[in-house]
Amino acid sequence: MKKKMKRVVACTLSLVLLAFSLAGCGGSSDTDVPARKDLPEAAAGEQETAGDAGQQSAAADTSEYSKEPVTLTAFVNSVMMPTDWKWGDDPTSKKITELTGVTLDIQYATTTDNMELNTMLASGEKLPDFIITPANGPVRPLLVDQGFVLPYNDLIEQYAPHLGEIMPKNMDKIYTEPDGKFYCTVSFFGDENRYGDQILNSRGSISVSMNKKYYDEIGRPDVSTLDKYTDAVVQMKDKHPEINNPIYDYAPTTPWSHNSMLNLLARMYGATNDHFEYSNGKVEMTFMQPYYKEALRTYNEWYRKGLINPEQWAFKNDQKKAAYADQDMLSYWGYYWALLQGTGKVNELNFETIEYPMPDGRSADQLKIHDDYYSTGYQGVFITKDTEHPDRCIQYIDFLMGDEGQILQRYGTEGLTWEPDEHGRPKETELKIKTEAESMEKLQRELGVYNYNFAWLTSNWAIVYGAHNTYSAYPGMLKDFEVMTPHQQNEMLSDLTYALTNTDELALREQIYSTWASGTAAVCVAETEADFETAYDKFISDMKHSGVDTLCEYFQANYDHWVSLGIGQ
Amino acid sequence: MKHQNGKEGRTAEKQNLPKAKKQSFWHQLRRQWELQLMVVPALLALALFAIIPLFGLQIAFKDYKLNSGIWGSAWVGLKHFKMFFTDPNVLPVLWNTVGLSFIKAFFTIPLPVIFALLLNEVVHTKFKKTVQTISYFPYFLAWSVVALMATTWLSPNGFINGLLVSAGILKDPYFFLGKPEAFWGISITLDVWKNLGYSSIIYLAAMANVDQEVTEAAVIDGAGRFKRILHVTMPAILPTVMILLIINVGNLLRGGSNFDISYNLMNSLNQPRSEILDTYVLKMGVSMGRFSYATAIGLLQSIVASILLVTSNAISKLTTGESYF
Repeated sequence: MKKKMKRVVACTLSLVLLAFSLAGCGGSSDTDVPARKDLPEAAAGEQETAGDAGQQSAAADTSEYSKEPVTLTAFVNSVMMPTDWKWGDDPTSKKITELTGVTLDIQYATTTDNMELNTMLASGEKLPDFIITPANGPVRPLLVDQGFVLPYNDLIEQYAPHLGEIMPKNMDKIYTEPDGKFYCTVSFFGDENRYGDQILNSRGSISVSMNKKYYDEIGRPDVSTLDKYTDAVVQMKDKHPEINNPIYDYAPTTPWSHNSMLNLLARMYGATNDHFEYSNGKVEMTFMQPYYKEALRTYNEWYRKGLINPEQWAFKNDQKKAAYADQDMLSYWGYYWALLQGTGKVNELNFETIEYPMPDGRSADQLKIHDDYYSTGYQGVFITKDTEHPDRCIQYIDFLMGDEGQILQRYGTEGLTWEPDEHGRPKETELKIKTEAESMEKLQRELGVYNYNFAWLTSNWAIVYGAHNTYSAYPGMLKDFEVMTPHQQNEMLSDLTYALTNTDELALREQIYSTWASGTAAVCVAETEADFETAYDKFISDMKHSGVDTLCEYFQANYDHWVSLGIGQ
Repeated sequence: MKHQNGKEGRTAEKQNLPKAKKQSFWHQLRRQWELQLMVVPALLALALFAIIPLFGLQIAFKDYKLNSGIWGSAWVGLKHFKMFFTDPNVLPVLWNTVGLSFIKAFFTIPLPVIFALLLNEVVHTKFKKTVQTISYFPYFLAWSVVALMATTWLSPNGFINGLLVSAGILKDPYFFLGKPEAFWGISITLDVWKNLGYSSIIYLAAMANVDQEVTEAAVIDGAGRFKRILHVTMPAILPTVMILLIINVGNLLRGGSNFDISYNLMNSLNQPRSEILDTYVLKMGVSMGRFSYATAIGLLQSIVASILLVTSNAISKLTTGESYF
C-alpha cells in the first residue's frame, strides 16, 4: 500500500513538472492569426504622395468615420510607466473616446534595448494594432523590410483620404521606403505648412541659465563671454562649495544631441549643426574639426577648475531627479522647460536664462542652435499587419493629426485646461497652470495634459500655436524663449543626413557614436593639459581606426539623396 | 566524475561473494519506472530548451529574416564571422572579456576555498552558522540592486570615499566608477562579495565528507592545524576544486557575472574597460536586430568554451588525476 502511494505521488509529481515545463511554450500557427482585411493593390506607377492622393478626390471629410466603440492595442517601445493611470482616467482620454469611439490598451517596454520588441516580432505571436517606436533607428527597417507593418498609402486611400490632405509637409516623402510607400507617421514633426501661423518658434533647444539666487549674491557680473562666465561660476562655487554640480550638463552622454553642453560649446566655437561639417558639399564629422578641440578644451578647463561633476556621466535617473529637485547646480546648460519641470518650481524664477556666453573673437550673432520646430520626428506610429481594424487605426491617426486631435493632445480639454484667446488660439487656464506648478504627474494623470501615453502625434505646430500666450504665464520660460529664438535655425538637412536606414550602416554609426561618447568623456575629464592632449589624440585615432571615413561615405550618400529631392533646405 | 587511482568501491572478491546476476537494461528501467518518470520532465526541458534550439544555430550562417523564418532565410556563409573579426572595435572588447575573466578567476576560485577552510576550523557552532548565513545574503540580491548600492557607495560623496579620506588614504575623493583603470577591481570585488558565501557551500559540503578517522590519525601523529588542512582537508576537496576550475576556464569568454556588472555599471567614462563581449553582442547584435550576427558571436563563444573545457579537463587529468569527464 505504501509502495503504491509512493508510485501515485511520483506519477502526480512528474505530470505536474511536465505541465509546468510545457506551460511556457507558446505556439502560433497560421490558423491562430486572423487574416487581415485585404487592401487594394496600389495602382501601377503610383508614386504620388499621400497628400496628392487626397487632393485628387473630392475634399474628404471624416463624418463617415465609424465611432463605434473599439479597443485598439498598442505597444510603446519606450520605458514610459504611467503611474496609476489607465485609459479613461483623465478627461482627455475620455474625450478622445467620445469623439472617435477608440479606447487604447497600451503595453510598455521595460527595457531600452529593443529586446522586448524584437522578441515579440520573433515569437510569431499576434502583434498589437500599433507599434510605437523611434522612427529613426534600427527598428524601422526591421518592421518595414520584414513585412510586419502596413503601408499608410494604401490605408489612406481606402479608409482615410482626409489624412492625406492634412499630412504635414514632406512627412510622407521623408519616410518613404525604397518600395515607394511610407509606413509610419511621426511625433514632433515640424509642419512647414503651419510655420507661418506664429511669429515665434517652438519652445526650442538648449539654453544657458544661472541660479538666480547665487547670481544675485555675487552682484550679477557680466557673463557675455566664456571667460567672464567661468569667473562668475567660480565665484559662486567659492561661496557655495556644497553644490555638487556647479555647471550641469543636461546630456553629457550624448554629445551629438542638441541638448548637450558639448554640442553647444562646439557651436560657440564654429559648429553649424549636431553632426557634420560641410565643406564644398563634402560631408565630414564635426568632432574631427579644430573647433571641436577648442570646445573640449573649455569643457576640460571647467572640469579641472572643479566646475564639472564627473558623476554626471554615470548618473542614474533618480540621481538626475535629485539634482533637479534639490536645485543642486549653479548654472544649467539644457532644456529650460526640463529644468523647471524637474525642480517643480514652475512659477518661481530660480533659474534665469542668460544670453549665450561666447569665446573671445566670436559674437553671439554667429551662434546658431537647432530649431526643434524643424524636427524630422521622434516616435513613429506603425500599424501592424495583424490588426483586425486597419480602418479604425488609420482613422484614429487621422483624428490625432487633425486640429482637434492636436489641441487635445497638447492642451487638453477646452474649458478645463485651455480657453480660446481673442485670436482663437489656446490660452491655458488657471487650473492648468496651478496643477502644473503643483506636479507634472498630476497634470498628466488627472487633467490629461502632456500625457504621452496617448499623445503619440503631438506635433510641434501645436506648441507654436499659442506659444507666446503659453509662455506669458511663465515669465522665466518667456525670457528663455526670447533669448533662444534669434539663434535658431532649420537643421532638417543634417538630421535627415544622420538618419541612415540600412542595418549595417546603422551598426557602424552606433559604434562610432559610442566611441564619440566615451572618447569625449575621457578628454573632458583629463587631469592635466598633457593628459588632455594625449586623450584627444587617442580619441581622433580611435575614430579613424573605427571606420569614421566609411561612415562619412554613408552620410555623404544620404546627404546627396536629400539634396536631390530638395528636402530640408 | 572519474577518479583515476581506484578510489571507487572495491570489486567483489570472487572467493567469498556470489557473482551478481546481470539484469537487462529494460528490466532495470521497468524496475525504476517511478524514478525514470520523474526524470522525464527534466529531459524534456533539456530537449526543448537546450537541444532542439541548437538547430537554430544555422542562422549564424544565414541572413536571418524574422518573417522568412530559419528555413526561408538566405545562406551567407561566413559573412558574419568575417564581419566580427574585421571589426576594429572587437579587439579591446575581447581583451576586456578575457582579461577580466582570467584575473577574476585568481580571486573567485581560491577565496571561497580559503573562506570554507577557515569556517571549517571554527569550533563555536553558533558563530560559524551566523557567519555562514550572513555570508550567503549578498548572493540573493539582484545584480541591479548591487549596482545601485555600488553606485552610491563608490560615489565621491559615498561612504567608501568618506572612509578613505578620513583615514588619510586619499587626499581627495576618487570617482571609482569614472576611472576605466578601476573597473576591473570593482568588478572582481563585487563578484567576490556577492558570491563568496554561496560558493563556499560546495567546499564546506566536501569538507564535511572528510573521514574523521584520518583527521584523528593526523592529530595523533602530531599534525598541527595547518598541516591537517594541507594534508587531509585539501586533498579531500581537491576533486571539487578541480571540477569548478575546469568549468571556470570553460567560461573564460562567457559573461557570467561579468555581464551583469558591466551592463549595470558601464558608463561613458569607464567603457574602454567595462565593455565585454556580451554587452557588445547586446548592443551591436540583438538591439540592432542583427540576430544572425549575434548568433555567430555566440557560436564562436561556445566553440572556444568547448575547446577550453576539453583542454583544461585533459590538463587536469594529467596533472592531478581529477577530471570532469
